[in-house]
This record gives sequence, structure tokens and C-alpha cells, in this order.
Amino acid sequence: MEALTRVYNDHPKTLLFTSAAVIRILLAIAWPALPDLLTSRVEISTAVNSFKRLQEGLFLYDHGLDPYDGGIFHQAPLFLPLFSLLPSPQESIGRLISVLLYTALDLFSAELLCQIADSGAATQSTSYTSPRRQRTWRSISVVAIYLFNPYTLLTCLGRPTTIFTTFFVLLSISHACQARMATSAFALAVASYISLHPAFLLPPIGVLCYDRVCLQRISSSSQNAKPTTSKANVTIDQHRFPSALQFAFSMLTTYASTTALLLALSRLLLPSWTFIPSVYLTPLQLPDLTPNTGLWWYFFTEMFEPFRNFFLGVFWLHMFSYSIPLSLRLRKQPLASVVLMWGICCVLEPYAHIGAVGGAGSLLCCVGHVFELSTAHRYTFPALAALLYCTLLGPAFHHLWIYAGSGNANFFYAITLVWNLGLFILLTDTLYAVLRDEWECERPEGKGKDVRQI
Amino acid sequence: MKLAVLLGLPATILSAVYAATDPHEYREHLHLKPLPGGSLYAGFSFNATTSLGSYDKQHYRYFPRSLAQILHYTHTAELHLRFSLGRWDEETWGSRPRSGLREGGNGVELWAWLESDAERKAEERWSDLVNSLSGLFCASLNFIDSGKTVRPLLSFDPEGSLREYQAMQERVTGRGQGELQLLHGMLPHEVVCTENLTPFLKLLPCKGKAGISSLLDGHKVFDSEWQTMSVDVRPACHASGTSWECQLEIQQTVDMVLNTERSQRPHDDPIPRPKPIEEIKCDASKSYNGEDTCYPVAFEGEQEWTLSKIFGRPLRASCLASGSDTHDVSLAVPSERTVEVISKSTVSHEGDNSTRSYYLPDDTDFDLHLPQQVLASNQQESETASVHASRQITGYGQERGGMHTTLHNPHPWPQDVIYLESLPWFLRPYVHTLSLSAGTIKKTYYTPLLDRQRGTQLELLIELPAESTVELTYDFEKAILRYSEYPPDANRGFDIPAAVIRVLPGNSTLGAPTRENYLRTTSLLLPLPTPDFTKVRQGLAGLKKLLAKSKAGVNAGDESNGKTMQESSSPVKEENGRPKEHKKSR
Repeated sequence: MEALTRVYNDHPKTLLFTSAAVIRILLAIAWPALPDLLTSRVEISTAVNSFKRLQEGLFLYDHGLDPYDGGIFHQAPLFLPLFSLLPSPQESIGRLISVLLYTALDLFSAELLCQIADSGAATQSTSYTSPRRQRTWRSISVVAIYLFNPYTLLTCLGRPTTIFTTFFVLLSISHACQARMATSAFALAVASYISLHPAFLLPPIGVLCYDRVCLQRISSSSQNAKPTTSKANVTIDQHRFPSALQFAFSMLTTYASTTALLLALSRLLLPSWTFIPSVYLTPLQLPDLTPNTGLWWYFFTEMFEPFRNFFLGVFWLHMFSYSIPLSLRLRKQPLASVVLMWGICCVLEPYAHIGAVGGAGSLLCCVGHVFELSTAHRYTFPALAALLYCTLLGPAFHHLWIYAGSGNANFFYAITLVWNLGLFILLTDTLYAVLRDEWECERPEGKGKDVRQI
Repeated sequence: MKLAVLLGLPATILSAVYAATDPHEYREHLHLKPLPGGSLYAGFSFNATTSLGSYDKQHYRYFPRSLAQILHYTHTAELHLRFSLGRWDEETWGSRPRSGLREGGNGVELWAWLESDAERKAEERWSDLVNSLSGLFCASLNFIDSGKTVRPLLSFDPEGSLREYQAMQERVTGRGQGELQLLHGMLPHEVVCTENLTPFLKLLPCKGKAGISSLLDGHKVFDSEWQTMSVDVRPACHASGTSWECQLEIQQTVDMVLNTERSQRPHDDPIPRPKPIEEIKCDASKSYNGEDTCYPVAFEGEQEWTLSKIFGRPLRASCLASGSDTHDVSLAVPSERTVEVISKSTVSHEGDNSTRSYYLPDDTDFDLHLPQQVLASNQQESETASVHASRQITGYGQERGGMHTTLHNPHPWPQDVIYLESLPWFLRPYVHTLSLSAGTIKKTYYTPLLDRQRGTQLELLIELPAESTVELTYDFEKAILRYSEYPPDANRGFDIPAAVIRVLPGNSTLGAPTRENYLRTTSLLLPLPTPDFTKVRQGLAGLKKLLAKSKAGVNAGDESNGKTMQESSSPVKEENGRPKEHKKSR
């Protein structure tokens, strides 16, 4: 025990990563049926990320058929050559290898989260430094939240391909935090190539990246001039910053050319362009209404036919409508806008699943320095309690509807409504806290006072 | 062009007169065969032909005009239509009648070869065909849409000589009709009943008023244990000298298995009642046998039956006044079985070993009576079916399941079978989970489903080893539909069409039959998850409220800060001296 404590104190990251990997692998070995059981859960696997559907696509691909000329496989084409290298996961060795791959992916994502938390982008930007910067969560805590929360853990064993989306989004954010525009745009392009909706992160990530580039200029120039106080930031000559338009243009170009490259590569692998409607029209048109934790399936099951296309448009626009306003309003805290936008995407995406919530929830902890505001003034505890309640009741209600036949679709739908309500409250509370933090910086006399809407 | 027609006219007339008796032919035949277990198989078949020339000129005699016009309009070269009910009990009744060639899956099954030069055109013509047949046969055939249509590659071969027919058509019309395309559709949910039999009989020259078709009464036909009606149209070409002579043949069949005991119950008292104890033969060896206690002796020997009692109607005189040169009725019973022929007119009786044949009289009714009899010889051995097949859905719950098909080869030689499955789109099979317990899959043709557009088509060429049972399994997932796509009785489930199994002719040196035969599994019932149909609006209102709240929440998070700011703005403004920033944040 002592040795363990010592190891924890000396190398906490090593210990965390090792134990996370060991838990995942042990679970897969101790209960060999567990990964497949989790793969079949609606909360983890959806029409666009299910590991079983990936196997079906691989089977067709290996037999020389076009996997996209059908209604089952809707995942990105580049997964096909990647997964056809692995042995078939229907045997125990293949299953273990697939779990190993996803464990590695989880560890990489954790490492990226660690980098994001360490970068300090949450508390400092060119025009703003949070008064609560001492309260920033240790990166190790953020990593622990990611690696050990049950949503991530179960999703890792369920092996949906959207874990790749989470990974590339985190990669993009971490590179943006390091002011590497090209790689950030590249990673975001890969993420949106896999899942489409990460494209909405482009404005906030663009702002974040631009801000970090500017901050880098400032620090390099301030190192030359040797003033270390924060007041120096104000005196910085704005002409030294790169042109925002030019920056946006080059970022967009990188993003678009990467996307084009990925699509062209996919076309090379496949006999036709059918993968584009199959992969990208499926989330847009929602042909597959299999229940999931999101808000769309029930709505479009019950939708009157003439309004279907209208509401599909409304739902997508609704999701997009947060993207630009958030990045404008939170331009002083660009990482917060990225984190919140990613959270909103995970709630509002058409094929929602708990894996995305696990990733977005951990990312939310990167802005942990403002949590004291939301816990003090808002409804964080009821929201977290609601999430716990849904986590336990959701599978039970799904069972009642699908297997026992003693409940109907409304049971499961109601629980997903509560689940999403809880997530929304968490997100809006964090938004409140972030803005209040900013406001308290400007109006220090308002600190600790209650805010009333008038 | 006109001149050529005019010049050709006398020749046409001459040839028409010359061939008048030949191309328009009509034959009908009834085959009766008692089956083990007190059942009687009755197979009606009606054949009519017309020459291709008359068909193109729309001149028909025995060939049904209403059907011919549909075929002409939709460019159908060969047509097969089936209406079926019930299940043929292979274990008791033996091999299938007509090698299963005139059977369909439960409900309605239709397949046809259509001439068309483009895929699109073929689909249009197919749609025309199913809609016209739907009207003609009073069946919901128009529900065979693209989602229920498949294009099998291995399972069906044309029965007629389609190539020669096409060449002839090309010569007559002067232009090519394009390729022949096979389309196949099934409606397992369709309930076959009297309203389908009536139009079926209307296609016959005697329309059920005379000849063997006078026996067909909806009450009896649909009271049978197994019943199938079929309409088959095919071109038949024979070489005559250097050219071909083509005819269009239509064969209509009605096959059924009747329970002799139930069918002979009187009309006015159809409820089965126990006989009075005096009429029952008691087993006196039982210890409890007494005045009021009786253990009935097992029935022995052959049951008594009368043709007119079983069908509830007498068999009227022959359909064609001139009579036909082939036998109208044949009865397959052992030679020692007593058969009383009740007919005023003379009937020929041809006694070979196991089949007796009769001509129908021209003017009077015809009847057969077989008294109860105990035969010295054992019951005739029923021929073993070539392959036994059964199919089930495994698993529970409305989320996923598995398909499990058992194919049993009872013979000491290996057999090749073609297994065709056409599944609706809301059943999503995982082909990578397809597995066969024994035997080998030699060929696989698979067309995956497309949501709301196309169903799955799975065709397998399987080799069944000798005397073996092969299990074919795969997993599937059940889709949830839009609320408008559910039928009114959504919780009943959805019917999955039967799998078609074609047993290919085997190696005759091993004793395998040289003729192919077909069998079909029963159709299945698939329960799907159902949404709530009653509280649609409330459910959606909840979601809308949530989304509105979320949007409002984001705005409020912004606004509440802004508002408070405004409240305390005046002193702050002076202190901070940055009113510009403040305005922006609002």
C-alpha cells in the first residue's frame, strides 16, 4: 500500500493509465461476453457507430461488395481497411485485440485531455485572465474523470467507432491549445469526416486557435521586453497579431482540403460514390429510428410525413445555431466555448450515445475552475442526480418496453428526456458560471452576490 | 406495308383454317389420391393453349382474354401466380404433388419474366402487371412494391422456351423487345379466400358450370388442410422445319388436401358430435368396458367417401361438348380397393396397377363412391420427400433475433439445394453471422436492404451431405418504423415471406431423382417494437418544451449576467471607464 502511495505521488499519470488499461482488459478477459453484450446496447451503439454493423460492412468489403449499397453500414470508409487488418472479433483473440485497440485509443484521448488541461487555455486568453486560475483542476483529475467514468469505460468495451470522433476532436482541441492551426484543422476534418457534426466545432476551435496564436506572439514579444505583469497584455500592439481573416481563410482551406483528401482516399477504396449519401445522409435524414439516448428518434417516429423534412432542417439548424453565437459571446474564454459546443453537440446529435457524454463531461472538467459558481448558484446537484437516476432507470425502462412488454415507448423516451434535461442543465450552469466569472472580473463588487433576472 | 398485309391475308386465313383445331386446345384433369391419415388429395388442372399468331391478333378461344390482354400490355413472357394456404405435411403425406412446381409460399406469390430494354422500364411494367392482376384476382397484389420485389438469379428457371418466343416476337413486331428480366414478389399476409377463387374460375372456358371445375366450391376449397391455386402462362415452341412454331400455354391448377371425415359432414349439421354409444365399436378387452363405458376401437382400413359428398356438389357433365381424348378424372388407389362409379352414361375404366382413369359423360353427372374397406395389403408407402425444411425465429424481445432454418436430407445421396430468402427491409440481417452447421455453401448472392426502398435478397447454393441435418442461422435486428408505417393491428407483428427451396436434380447413378423440385417453408410472424400511438402530441410537446428550455437556458445564462450588469452599471461605468465593453456584452 505504501509503495502504491509512493508510486502515486511520484508518477500519478503512469498509475492512472496503467490501472485504466488493466481494468478494461481485465473486464474483457473475466467476462468474455461483456464486450458483445455492451455492443448490443442501444445506449452505446447506434446506427452510425455500432461495432456489429462495422463487422457487417467489413464482411461485405472483404467479399468485394460495396458495403454502402445497403441500409446497415453507415460508417466512414477508412475504417474498413483499418479494421480488416485486425483478426475477426467473433473469436476470443480478435475480441481481445479490438478491446486493446480501443483501450489504447482511450489512453491517447486521456493524454490529449491532460495536454488541454495543462495548456492553461481555460483560464487565460489574450484579453482575459480568470481570477479563479488557482482553482483550475489538476490535469490528473480530468484524466481520471475521463478514464474511470462508467460511460467511457462501458463505451470502450462496446467499441463504437465514435470513440475515434472523440479522439480526433480532443486532438484538434489540444493542437488548437498549442496554437498549431494546421494540425488542429486536420484533426477536426477527420472527426467531421467520421461523424459530420464535429464540423460545428470549427468556429469555436478557430477562435481558440487564433487566440492561442496571438497569445504566443504576446508571450514571445513580452519575453523580449521582459515585462511579466498581466498589464503588459493590454499594451501589446495589436498589429503584431496575424490577420484574423487570413487566419480563418487558411484554417478553412486546411479543413476543406483535408476533407477532400479523405473523401478522395475513400473513393479509391470503394467502387462508387455511394458512401457519401450512405454515411452523411443517414445522420441528416434519420432513416434508421432505432431508439437511442438522443432526442430525435421518438420525434421522427411520430412525425407527420409532410413536416418531416422541415423538422429535420429545424433540428440541424438548432444544433448549428449555438456554434457561432457561443464562439462570439465567449471569445474571451475560447476553450469554454469549444467545451460547451461539444457538449451541446453530444446532446443534440441525431444518433446520441453515452460515449460522447463521457468524453464531453470530462472535457467540461477542463473549465473546472468555475464550478464553484455553478454549484453555489445553480442546480448542479439536481442535474447530476438526474443523470444518475437515468443511468439506472434507462436500461430498466428499455427492458420494460422491448422485452417485458409491460411498458411502452414512452417509458424509455421519458427517461431520455430527463437524461437530456440533466445534461442541458449541466451545460447551461457551466455557461452561467463561465460568464459570471468573466463578469466578476469586471465588477469585483458583485462577487458572491445573488443574481436575479429582472 | 399494307400491301404486304393484303397479299398475305389469304395465306393467313388459309393457315388459320388449317390450324384451327390445333392451336386452340383445352384439357382439364382431376387427380384424386387418398392420403394416409384420412385425407384426400385432389389436384385439378386446366390447360389451354393459343397460337402466338392469335395471341398477337388478340384472338382467343379458350385462353382467357382478360389475362391475355394484361400479359400483352405488360410484355410478360412468362407468368407464375400462386395463392396458397396451409402447410403440406411431408411427414404424413409424403412428397409434394407436381414436385412442388405449382406451389407458393403462404399468401400470394408472383414471379414473371418481363421483356424490357431497361431496368426502369421493367419496374414500370412490373408495377403495371401487379396492379392489373390485383384487379383481376381481387387480391392485394398491388402491395408488391419495390420493397417486396426481388430478382432471383438461381432459384427460378423459365419453364417455357423464352428465347425462341422472343425471336418469334421480334420477327412479328419487327423490333427487339430487350432482355427478359425475372421479378419476384411475395405477400405473406394476404388471406386467400373465395373472392380469389371466383375470378380464378371465370378464366376457365366453362367457368365452373361444367366439367371438373363444377366441383370447386369456396366453402370446401378453403376448408381444406392445405390448398394452393396457381396460374402459369408460358410460351412453348416446337421446331417445325426451319422455323419455330410457338404457342402460349396457360395452366391453372387447384391442389388441396381435404379431410374426408370433416368434408363429408352434412351442410345443415356441420358441428361434430359424438355418436350414440350403440353405434361405436367398443374395445371389449378393456377392463372397464361395460354398458355405459366404451373405449372406441382404433379405426382400421380405408375410409368411406363419396366425391359429391366431399365437395358438396355433384360433378357435372364434361366441359367440352365434343368430349376430350384424354382422361378427365384419375383415381390413385390400390387395385383391390372397391370403387363404385355412379354415372348414367358409360365411362371408360382403365385399371392399371394403382391408377384408374375415367372419361366424363357428355350429358349427365358423374360420381365416385368408395365404401369402407379393410385392405389385405398394407397402406401404400408414401414417397419420401426429397428435403425437409423448417424455419423459425429465435430469441425474444423486440430488439433483435435470429433466423434458424433446418434442412434435412433423408436420402443416402448428397443434394444441392438453392435457398432463396426475400426479407422486408425492417428486418436487418447480419450476413457476417451467417453460419451453416454442416455442408457447404457453394455460392452466395446477396442484395442488402435499403431502408424503405428495397428488401434483402439472399440466395444460397448449399450442398446437403447424405442423410444429414443442416442448420442455417444468422442474426438480425428489428427496425422501429415511423408511426404511419404500422398497419392498424401493429402489435400483431409483420409477416415474413416463406423461404423458397429448390432441390436441384441429383446424380442419377446414385439413385437420385433427375427432376428438380421445390418446397417452401412456412411464413413467419415478426413482432416489431411499436411506438405509442395514443399520446403522440403530448410526447412531442415534452420534447419541444425541453428544447425551448435549453435555448432559453443558454440565453438566460447570458442575459441574467447582462441584466445585473445593467442594474449596477452606473457606478461601475465611472469606476471602470469601459462602457464600450459593457454595451457589447449586451
